[in-house]
Amino acid sequence: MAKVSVRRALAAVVGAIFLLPLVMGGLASLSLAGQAAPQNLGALLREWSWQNYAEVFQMIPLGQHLWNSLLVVIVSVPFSVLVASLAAFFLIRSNQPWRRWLVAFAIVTMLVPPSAVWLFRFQLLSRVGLVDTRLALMLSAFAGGSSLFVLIYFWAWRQAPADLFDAADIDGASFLQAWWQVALPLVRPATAAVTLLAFMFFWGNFIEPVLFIYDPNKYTLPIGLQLLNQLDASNRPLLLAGAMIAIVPPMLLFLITQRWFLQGEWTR
Amino acid sequence: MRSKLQDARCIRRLHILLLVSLPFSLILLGCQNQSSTISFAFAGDVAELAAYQTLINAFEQAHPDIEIEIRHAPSRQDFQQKLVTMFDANQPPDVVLLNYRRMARFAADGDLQPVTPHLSQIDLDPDAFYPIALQAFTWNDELWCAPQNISSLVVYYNQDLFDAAGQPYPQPNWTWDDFLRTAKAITTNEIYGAAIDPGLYRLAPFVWQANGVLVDGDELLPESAENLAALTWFTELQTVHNVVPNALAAQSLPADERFLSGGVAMIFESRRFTPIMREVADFDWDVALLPQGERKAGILHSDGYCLGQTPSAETLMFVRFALSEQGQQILAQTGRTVPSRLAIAESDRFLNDGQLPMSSHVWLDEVSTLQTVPLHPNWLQFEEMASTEIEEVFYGRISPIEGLDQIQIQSGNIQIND
Repeated sequence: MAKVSVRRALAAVVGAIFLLPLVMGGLASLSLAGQAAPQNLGALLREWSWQNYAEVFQMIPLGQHLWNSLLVVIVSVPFSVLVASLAAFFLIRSNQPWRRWLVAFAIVTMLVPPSAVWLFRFQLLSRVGLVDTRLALMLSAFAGGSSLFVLIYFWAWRQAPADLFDAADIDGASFLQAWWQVALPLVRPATAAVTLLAFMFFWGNFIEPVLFIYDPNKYTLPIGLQLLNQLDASNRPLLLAGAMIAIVPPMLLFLITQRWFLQGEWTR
Repeated sequence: MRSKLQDARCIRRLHILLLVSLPFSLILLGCQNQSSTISFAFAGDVAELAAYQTLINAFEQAHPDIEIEIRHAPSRQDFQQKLVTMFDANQPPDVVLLNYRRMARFAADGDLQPVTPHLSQIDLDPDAFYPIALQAFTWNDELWCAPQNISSLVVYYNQDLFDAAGQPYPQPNWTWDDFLRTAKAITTNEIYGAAIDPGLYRLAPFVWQANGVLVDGDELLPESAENLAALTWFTELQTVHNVVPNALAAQSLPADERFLSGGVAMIFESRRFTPIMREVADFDWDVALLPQGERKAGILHSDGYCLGQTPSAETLMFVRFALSEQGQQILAQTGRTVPSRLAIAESDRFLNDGQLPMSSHVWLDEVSTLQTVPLHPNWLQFEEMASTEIEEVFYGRISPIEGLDQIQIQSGNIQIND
């Protein structure tokens, strides 16, 4: 019992340490903008207002940026989950000798620095007329988002007994039926993890909008935050207010999905 | 057979999903570029974005048949990546706004087209612009960009702190000794006489003032007595006299924030700092010339309109408009630029716009003493490397002579002339 209490106390301390920057950021987002920065915590708490949260929407088109980011994740996250899980299930069910080479290839692609493919992707998007479109920011989702997502599913299904899938085959289930009705329900924690990771991947994607988007009306939230970051030092509370707004959707998603992926196993 | 039927159902469901997402995707595709548009690339914050949007609106109003497409990035670093990608992918912007320190790289790579053959079409009469601004964009005997502004480092000072310490305001001929004496007189336990972001950009004018050079042959910041004197004076402000914040204090509060909060009496900044001072400072303030050493010298800060590809008549019309008195005035109204066109810079529209600082003429007074950093494709990397070492000296981690040694070792043979 005492052991559990100590563990909980330790967890609370570690949690508080991780929570502190968020609390400080939240408090600082309430300090008055357009003034010299408060020099200590007392000054920070003395004068505060919710005004920054309204002003940040007036200073930059943050509402538009939010909407653009939401559009990107609404399309990209389901497609990432769909394509990554289908690809991984194909790898699991395939008896071909080159399966292991595909898995190795997926791992190798994770080692390629993203900057190495910027130019190629820009040329490709430019060739098909997708530069300066929101679709350019979603395109990788149609290929599963990231090879990491495919590998998460692959490793999750490798932990499941293969007999289950064989039994589905014997019962006459097709590939798609086995994937949808048997395989996917088995790996809900993995799906939750991929959903959250894909959301963070597309929600926080900064460099692609910088490179592929020209029209400021199509800027996503990370660009909006960078615009706020370029404001002078006296407007730091506005940046923090923007950051707090940006944190809300991933936090909500985390709260919704945590009960699945905190189960500790990839498979249910 | 049963399995095929069920497969077909699943496939039909997938088709429905794709069909539902298709119109959504098509809406997101939006409109594609029109061939009649010209593109204008620049970096800048919200205020700069708004200022250039005003410039573009004014141009489009005057030329309704031409549309300007913005290619913008919020910060200089992001902009560099965006620009490199566009050039490498052979999708260059028509017009790009570049600082002269960044220009040589793109010119050397063959990304830019010289402006020289188009001077009459963009109405660039060399006599109407400050010569130093034209010189800054001249490389290999070609003018590569049309100068938009001509700013420089000056001293912003807090008049309230000067008054409280009983110190006279800086005079036009004040010296390094005057600066140090004033800073010492103002410095207390809570107030610093000055705050400096140590780096080559801020050290350079003092090197020139000591009759030193940034580059000699193939050496960056060579170990001459003049360069050593400049670096020693600059860094002893912190290491010996303690009139500027030390490393810990500087880390806890950046120089500009400390100045805005009234904790510092003097700071070296360019005209870009003026809008925030107007908005935030709740004390009386003004600007003054840099203190002088053996001679007067300042460092130029200038951006120019560069041509990203062989210009069309419409492109040249836009550059002509941006350089015109109307175009320069629109940007001068932001308060953050010193116009490169003499007629605007020397008019009341810049000098007496009814706002602080009272001494905007300081930027024009300094023009005759301005110098430029050498033009070199890799200059920014050299600058960054040298700045790291200067910071080490500034915070007393290594001696000035060791700092110069390190810069020599790391820069190698750079083959440029100051």
